[in-house]
Amino acid sequence: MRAIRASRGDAPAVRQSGPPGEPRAIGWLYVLPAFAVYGAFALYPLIRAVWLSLYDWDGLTVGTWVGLDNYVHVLGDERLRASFGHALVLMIFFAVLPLVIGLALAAILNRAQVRGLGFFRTVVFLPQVVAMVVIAVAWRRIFAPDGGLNSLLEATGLGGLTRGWLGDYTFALPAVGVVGTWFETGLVTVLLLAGMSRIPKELYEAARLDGARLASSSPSPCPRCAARSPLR
Amino acid sequence: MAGRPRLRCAAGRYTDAAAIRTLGYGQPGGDWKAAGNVEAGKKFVEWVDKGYFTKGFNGEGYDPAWQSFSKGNGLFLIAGSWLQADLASAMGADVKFMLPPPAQAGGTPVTTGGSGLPFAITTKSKNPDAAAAYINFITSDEAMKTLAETGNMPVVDTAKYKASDALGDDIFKAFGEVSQKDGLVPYLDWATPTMGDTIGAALQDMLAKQQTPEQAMTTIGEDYDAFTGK
Repeated sequence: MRAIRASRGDAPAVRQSGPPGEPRAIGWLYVLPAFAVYGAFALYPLIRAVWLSLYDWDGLTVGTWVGLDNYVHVLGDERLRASFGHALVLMIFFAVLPLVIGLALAAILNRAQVRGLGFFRTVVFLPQVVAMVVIAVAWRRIFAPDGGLNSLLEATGLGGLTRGWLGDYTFALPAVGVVGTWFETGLVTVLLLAGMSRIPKELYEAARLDGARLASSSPSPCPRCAARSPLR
Repeated sequence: MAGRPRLRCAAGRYTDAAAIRTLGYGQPGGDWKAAGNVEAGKKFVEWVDKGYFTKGFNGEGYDPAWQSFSKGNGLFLIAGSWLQADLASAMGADVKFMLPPPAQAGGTPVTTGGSGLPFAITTKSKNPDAAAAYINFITSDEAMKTLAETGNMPVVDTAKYKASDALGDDIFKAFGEVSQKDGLVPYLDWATPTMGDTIGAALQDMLAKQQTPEQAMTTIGEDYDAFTGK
């Protein structure tokens, strides 16, 4: 009782310890639940994976310490190095191309007085809604030797270009990449559209008054605004 | 012909069963670069050149391959008893099963069969008896009967059971012949923990003319040698 009266007495409450403005220790308590989950399912496996990478271990029997030997192997093996290269190529298809295409599409959808804008936005975004496994099955059928892409090529007189796309030494990687571009472009477009819609009209007017032509004022006078606003 | 073609269907014509078993079981003493294996590889490349395989076969999925075959595309499908139920229901009496023909008429047919699929009970198992009972269960008379009835091949006492369709009759008969003549050989990719990837990639390279048969056999042999040399 006395404690309560005391705390009522000296309002506004004064912190028990620590300099003013410093974060209080109780903050850690608020963070704890999320951090516990994050630690258990993200940090711990990550650290454990790094630890395991220093062993020669088959997953069942006792492992032996090999230090950085596994990493030397990864860097020394031509085929493993190639797979890192493939991952970089896929990054271009999954990230860079969608950004370029998405920016152009968003600019068009944002500026042009398109009738049925919602419809086009939905179409562009649709791949994001479809389950990954459905996408994989559908594209496999498109790329199959007797699949949609080859049928289309034959129907348009380009029969000479037909091939087993996913088994082709030149085109298998880009073929997988195209799926990624198709998949990610919608998301990028919608995010950028959301950003552009928050750019004040005055900025466009100002840009035009300053002599910016369509090419330079498009897609937006302030690309960083476009990129940042949806994240706000 | 459709699907990823398999070296093993040609290997038996050029290499005897004992040598293939050594390679397939990953026992030391085999030689992937032996003339017979290279010959088998060359025969396959020859089939590519003659256009026996589906166009774009390296990009053909396994399931689309037999599905396409079941619709009447292609003359031969290099596959196995596991497709019996699917093909019999899709094609009825229009499909037959045959072993890869031996090099000389009347010779021993040599082909791959997975009857020896390994089940292992580890020494650390807490319930080894339960595991053993399970193995007994899946090899029991009743299990074999169920397999036969559902369009699969019972490997124990095959002759005792009646197949569920005509295609099954072919398969049971072929299995009886190949077992009696001792021509059953293991899957070549059982040899080492990495052989599945190695052999698949090497053969795809070979059939796409990225590697010669000699190079492909060398690639496969390196995997085998590294494992058996341990």
